[in-house]
Amino acid sequence: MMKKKSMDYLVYVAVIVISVLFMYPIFILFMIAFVPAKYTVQSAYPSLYPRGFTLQYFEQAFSINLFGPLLKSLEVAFMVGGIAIAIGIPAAYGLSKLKPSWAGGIATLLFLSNMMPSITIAIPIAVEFLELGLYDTAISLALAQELVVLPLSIFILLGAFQALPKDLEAQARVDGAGLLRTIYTVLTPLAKAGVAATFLIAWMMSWDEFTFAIFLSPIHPTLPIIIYENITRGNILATSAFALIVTLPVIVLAVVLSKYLKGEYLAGGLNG
Amino acid sequence: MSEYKLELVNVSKRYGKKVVFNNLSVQVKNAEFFVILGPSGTGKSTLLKAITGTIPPDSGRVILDGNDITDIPINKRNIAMMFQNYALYPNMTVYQNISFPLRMHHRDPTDIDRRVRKVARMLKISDIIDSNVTQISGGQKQRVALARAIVRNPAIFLLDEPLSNLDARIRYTAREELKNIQRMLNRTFVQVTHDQSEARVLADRIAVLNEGKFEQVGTFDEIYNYPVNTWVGDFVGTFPMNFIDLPKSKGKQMGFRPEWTAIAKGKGIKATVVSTENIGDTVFLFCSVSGSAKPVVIKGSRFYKNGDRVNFVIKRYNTYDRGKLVRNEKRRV
Amino acid sequence: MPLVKEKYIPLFFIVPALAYEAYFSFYPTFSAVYGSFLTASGKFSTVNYKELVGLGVYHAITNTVVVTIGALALQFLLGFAIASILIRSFRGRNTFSALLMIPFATATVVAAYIFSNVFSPVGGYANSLLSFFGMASVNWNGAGSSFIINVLQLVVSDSWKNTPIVALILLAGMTAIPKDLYDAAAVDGAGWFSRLIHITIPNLIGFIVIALVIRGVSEFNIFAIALLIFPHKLLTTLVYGLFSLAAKPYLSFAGASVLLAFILVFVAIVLVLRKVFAAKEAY
Repeated sequence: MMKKKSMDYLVYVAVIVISVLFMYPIFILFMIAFVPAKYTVQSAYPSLYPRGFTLQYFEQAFSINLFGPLLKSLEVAFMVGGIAIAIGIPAAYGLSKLKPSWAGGIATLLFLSNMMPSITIAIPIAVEFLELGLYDTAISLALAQELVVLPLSIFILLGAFQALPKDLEAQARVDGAGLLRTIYTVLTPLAKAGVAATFLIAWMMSWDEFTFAIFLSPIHPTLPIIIYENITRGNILATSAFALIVTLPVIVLAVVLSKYLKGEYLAGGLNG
Repeated sequence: MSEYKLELVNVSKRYGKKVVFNNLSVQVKNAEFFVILGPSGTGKSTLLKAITGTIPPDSGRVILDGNDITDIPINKRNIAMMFQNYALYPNMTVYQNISFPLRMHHRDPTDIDRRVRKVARMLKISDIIDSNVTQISGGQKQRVALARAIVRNPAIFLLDEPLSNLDARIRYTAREELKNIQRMLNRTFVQVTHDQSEARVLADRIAVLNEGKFEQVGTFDEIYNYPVNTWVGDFVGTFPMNFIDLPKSKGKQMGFRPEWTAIAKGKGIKATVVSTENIGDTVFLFCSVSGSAKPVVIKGSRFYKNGDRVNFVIKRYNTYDRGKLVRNEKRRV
Repeated sequence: MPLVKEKYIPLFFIVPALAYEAYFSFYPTFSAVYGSFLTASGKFSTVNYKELVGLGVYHAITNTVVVTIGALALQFLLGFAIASILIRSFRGRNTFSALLMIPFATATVVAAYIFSNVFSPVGGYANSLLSFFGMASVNWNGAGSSFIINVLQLVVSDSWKNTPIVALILLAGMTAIPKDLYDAAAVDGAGWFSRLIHITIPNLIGFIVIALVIRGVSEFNIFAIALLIFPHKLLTTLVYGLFSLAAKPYLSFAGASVLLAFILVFVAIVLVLRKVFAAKEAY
């Protein structure tokens, strides 16, 4: 009895320590954004708790061009999510019809395309898009980011399709549904949690993406590039408020939709 | 119009080196209840899926109403199938499940509604028609799956162990109901099962499947009384058929059912009781007999116990030559 | 007879994805590897690699490998601990698991920005914390800072963002292990440690491999965080080096090929380890 109780305490201590470790960096971002700089980055030893309050940097943050980049980031992220679903669903369905060992092999082959550094791929792609007149457009950046996103998307969707009972597909075909109808009106609705997870993870990967964005979209940049540019220009304080403005909605989104961000989906193809 | 509703011609299927079935041929007559009976793992379900096309056969033809449907897309074959686990679409209501095949065939909406409600009344599931299929009982699921098969008025019904997921108590009534529905619809049903009592009650004809080939096709009476070989005799029946070497004829055996025997004082075959089994009104005796490696089962009575010596006579038997039934045998009474 | 047998149709569904990856990813990759053996005048040579050595590629390789190993070790230890906590039921579990979403949802650039302010030699929060406990300040990334300290801050910064993913994948694996196995082992007299060795780890191996591959590949490609924490190229990882070389394609091709080689070796090691563990499991 005693032993069980002490174990419970240990768990709570660990929970509190880990929570603080994960929360505190965001708290630091808040402090730099809302506490006068003399207590934060301009002090030799920044205060570990807020000692003042100012909206000065927050106001300055709005002098940074927010709307264009926000729109671009959203545009690209939704495209990346959409393409991941559009190409990922048929590919994952096709793989789910193969022997698991073959499906695993092809999924691994697709993952190999993640291994080459984005920089090396970005330059030839940039050249190609220049020729096509697509350079700096949202679709060109989305297509580039999709290279990294698609293999993981297919892997997640493959797991979702493999988990469906085999007989349901046969039943739908026997009931008169064609192949495409079976995939889109019977199987996809049943795998909707996996589809949602795929879209969300693809969306977040695009939102976060830096390397392709810096090479392929320099004229109309995305939010990560704006943040990077402002830091290198020494615009530290306004950047903190700006970073907070663009980060908080995504955190709220991730918390609200956290049921779709489970490891089960990320490790999807293992179920097969 | 063909003489037969469904014909399989030399159908084969293998996975790698494993042969599921090889050169299977069978004919199913119009409006008959045809049961494919076999032990687990003999490819019964695969055979049904070869007919629907969801597992295409490697070779051979599937002929429905005289038309070769082997290369017709699955969704264009006029076949209804009921799976062992019912395969109800879990994201749809009972109504949506039943109407699904009609919607897939682009029927008129008012016609769909009329037919769904009619078949729901017939199967007594009108009261749950708007329920989610994940929230209904096993018996109700079975009815919904059957309703979905019936509603589209298919050329033929295929059923994969449709009763095996039901509790024993409702399985008997469901079995009767299934037979009644088949008679009422007057349609061809092909069902696979491993349960021979199910086959006995339902089937007009039975095909006994073993290791990818049909051992025997016929009515239950034919198969029970005249199994074509020792394997069928062994497999069909509450107790396996008994086989005793015929004296003075090499390779020949007598095959007889326990109820074809009677205890006889001082005459007939000598035996020793090994164990007894009381099935209620009758007691069967497992006896060791010379000429049979396995214990022979005979009809006895409750007065016998293990170790007792008994004598019994065989009132009728079939002759088997090297495991095969010898036809037109004169039978002793 | 239809044109194509129906069972082959699903194969065509894979083609767009494969073609897309092949054209935009495999093809540039192979041209880069091929180009890395060419001089500007188109002659076949290893001169690019020799020049890379002159530019300190060994240094970049060491940095990348050390950072990768360090980051994977930290993320797996912490991720395993978090997953072991989340598999239990306790009050506040949902809040705790929601907290994990915070780093997960923070963009890498923002995380890098935060940690550049944490590990600043002057005006940094890490030094504030040290002085709060009465300890001396550390020269995190100023001139003359030590290699170990540099590696440590990069590993910590990266792990803050990425540990939650590892924890979520390991948690999925732990959830899939039947509880009966633990009960049976406990009845058989297995203690906490033997259950970890004989049940948890062997059953988790598939999930560990997924997490290792997903994280390992991106650790080898670590770039944005290093760029922001070390604006003066104090700790150059391979991709960071490539970024500086972007204007010299043949050199950068050579650099990319070096990186690719390391990643392939890493993936091969992981897959072999998986085979070894899977074989052990099957005793």
